[in-house]
Amino acid sequence: MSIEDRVVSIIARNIEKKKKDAVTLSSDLAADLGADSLAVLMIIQALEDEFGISIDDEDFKKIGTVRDIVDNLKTRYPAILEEK
Amino acid sequence: MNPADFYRRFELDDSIVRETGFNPYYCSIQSGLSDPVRVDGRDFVDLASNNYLGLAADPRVICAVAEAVERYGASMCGTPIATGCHELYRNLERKLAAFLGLEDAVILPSAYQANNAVFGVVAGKEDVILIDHFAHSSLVQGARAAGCRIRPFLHNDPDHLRSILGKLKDVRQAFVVTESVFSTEGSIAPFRDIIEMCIEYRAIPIIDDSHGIGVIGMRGGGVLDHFDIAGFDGVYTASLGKALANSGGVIAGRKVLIDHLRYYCPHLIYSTAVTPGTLEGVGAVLGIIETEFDRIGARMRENRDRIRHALTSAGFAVIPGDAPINAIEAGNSIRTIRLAKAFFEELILTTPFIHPSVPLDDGRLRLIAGAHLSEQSLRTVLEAIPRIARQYFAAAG
Repeated sequence: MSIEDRVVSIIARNIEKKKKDAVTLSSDLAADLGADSLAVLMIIQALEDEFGISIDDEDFKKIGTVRDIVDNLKTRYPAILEEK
Repeated sequence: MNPADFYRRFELDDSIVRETGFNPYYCSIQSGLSDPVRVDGRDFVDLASNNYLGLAADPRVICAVAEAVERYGASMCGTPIATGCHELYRNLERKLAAFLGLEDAVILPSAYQANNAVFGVVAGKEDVILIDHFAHSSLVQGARAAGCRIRPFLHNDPDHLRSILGKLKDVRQAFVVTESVFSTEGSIAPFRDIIEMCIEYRAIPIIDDSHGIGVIGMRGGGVLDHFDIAGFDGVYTASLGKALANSGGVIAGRKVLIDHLRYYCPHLIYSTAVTPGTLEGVGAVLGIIETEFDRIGARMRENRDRIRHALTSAGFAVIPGDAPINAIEAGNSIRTIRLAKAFFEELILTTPFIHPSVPLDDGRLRLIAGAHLSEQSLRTVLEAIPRIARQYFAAAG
């Protein structure tokens, strides 16, 4: 599974039911998924669990879309690209 | 920075008020919570207050408060650790503990303070707090103030909670925090499942029963009564200002913990104690619940059902929930405030919740019909709902 698909899947599993089906790469966390600060925290922690990384909250301060998360992970944590 | 720039930071965004022509907040009420209530010189049906059992203006409660004020004055002018510890204070703590089936209880000036206070005492940076995503601001702020790791879990989702509990490592103590009744929607947390999970993972449950005490359970005893939970081994908090119709908050649980709070909880030690009138008022309400909950609770639930039926028949989406709350899914902030305005124009007070109290574009209008509402008031509401619906849906296109 590509990292894009994994991130979309992780977010869909860690967002309130009403928004699960709305998660795509272009979804804006706040505007489209209604993610507040606790929801963002939930997503960050789920990504940490899934990829075995420790994400600096500062990295996520400027995140807008799911695509931004993928790009951020690829840049900051390149090792996850090598995972199967 | 000059003073003008400083104060400019605090200017309110009144765009919603300007667009809707209505500000539902800080309405000045000119009566007590009798039925009807008086606002701007007009009589309104109160579906906004948390006066679930309708006891705020009950003559027996008024009498208990008045007698306490006459006998002991307005205030003890001291914190509970000093002159605020009137014998009435200890009496009510014991009464509340017995009512809840817990070992001991301590009374604070508000439930917000109780929720803020508890985390700073019980949790440290080596701990982790798992908290329902939609938990009340007082719980979230309290948890954040404790300075430990916070792990939110999906709202009322035990499977998600379990998945997080199963991944915890290197934690001294985990706490699982939720509310019994989520007041913006009327849902009841799956607390039995949560308790069982806490036992399995050795986590401590912390439950805010503010909208449950006096409301749910066979005898109105709140969440522990509702789920028939004996020997609760966690921390319990609740408001004394909703169904209990007075003011203040309570933290209850094991005696060893409550005794510790009495000496190490700054929110308690440094706040002027709840007044004698309030203490006796709560005591009077507990007495009424113990003898009359069957009748009053049934009336409260019947009022909810009649209003829910009218709302759904008129086309409103009402969030399913077992608590005596009707929460209409109203959409974005503008639509939510407009709906509140439509009820207001029919002389009905409601409570709108808009972002950030609820998720973006997921506004709710809450209606709580107290057990004391007259048949005439209920008819006013039931007859108005179809008119409001026509206006609301026509405006939505």
